[in-house]
Amino acid sequence: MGYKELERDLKFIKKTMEASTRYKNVPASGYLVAGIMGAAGAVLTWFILGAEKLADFAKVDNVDVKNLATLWAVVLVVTLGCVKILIKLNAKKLGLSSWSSLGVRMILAQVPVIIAAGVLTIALGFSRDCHLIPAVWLLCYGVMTFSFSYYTGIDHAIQGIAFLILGAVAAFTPPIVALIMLGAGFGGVHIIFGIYRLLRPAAK
Amino acid sequence: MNPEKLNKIIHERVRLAIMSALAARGKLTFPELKDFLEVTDGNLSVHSRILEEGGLISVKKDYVGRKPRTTFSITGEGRKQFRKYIEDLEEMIGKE
Repeated sequence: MGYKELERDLKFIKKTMEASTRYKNVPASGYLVAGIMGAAGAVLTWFILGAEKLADFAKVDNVDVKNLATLWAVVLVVTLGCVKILIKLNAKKLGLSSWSSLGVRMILAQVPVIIAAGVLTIALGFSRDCHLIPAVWLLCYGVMTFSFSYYTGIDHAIQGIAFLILGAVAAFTPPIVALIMLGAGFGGVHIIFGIYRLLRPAAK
Repeated sequence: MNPEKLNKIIHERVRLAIMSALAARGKLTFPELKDFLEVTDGNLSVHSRILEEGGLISVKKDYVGRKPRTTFSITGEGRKQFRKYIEDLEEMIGKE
C-alpha cells in the first residue's frame, strides 16, 4: 500500500465525515413551494399597489401598508407551514426525525438576522421608507442562506450570493425594480434551485 | 508501521464510510446511511453486520408507527478503534 493510497483514505474519511454532517432534509418540493409563494407575493404586491404607487411611493397610504403586511404575513405562514410538512414527509421517508440537532442549530443561528430584518421592516414602515423593505429582506435572507451553506453545502452559498446581489440592486433602484428583484429572489431563485435539486443525480 | 497491521474490519471502503459517517453523526438510520453512501440494501446489510460483529457499531431495530426502522450507532469501542485507525494511517503517511 503506497503513500498516495493512504493519503486518499484519510481524505475519504474527512470528506465522508464532513458530508455526513450536512443537513439535507429540505426536499426540492420545499424550494418549489417557497418559490411559488414568493412569486405570488410579489405579483399580489404589484396588484395591491398598482403602477402609480409603485412609481411614486409617497402615494402609499396606511391601508396599503396594512394590506401588504397582511399579504406577506400570510405568504410567510403558508410557506413555512408547507415547507414544514414537506420536511416532515421527507424525513419520514428516510426514517429520520424531521428536526435533527443539526437542523435546530441551523435555524437558531438565524434568529438574530430574522429579528434584525423584522426591526428594520417596522422602522422603515414608520418612516415611510417602505421602498427599502424588499432590499432588507433580500439582503437578510441572502445572509441567512449563505450561512446555511456551512451546514448544507455549496448550493446555499450560491443561492445566498444571488439574494445578496438582488438585494443590493433593490436597495439602489426605484420601487418597481425593487419589487421585480423581490419576485426574482423569493420566487425565481427558489424555483431555479428547487428544479436543480429535483433534477440532480443525487436526488434520484 | 506495516500497512497490513491496519484494522482489517475498518479497512474496506464501505465499512470505512460507515464508520466515518457514524463517527461524525453518532447514529444514522438505514435509509439515511444508504442514501448517503449510495450503496444497495444488501451491501449495507453485509458490511454493517461485519462492523456489528466486530463490536464497532450497534444496531437497533424498532418501529415508527407501523414501519420498521433500523438505526446504527457507533459504540465506545468503535470510536476508540476508529481513532486508532486514523492515528495509524497518519503515522504511516508520516513515515513514507
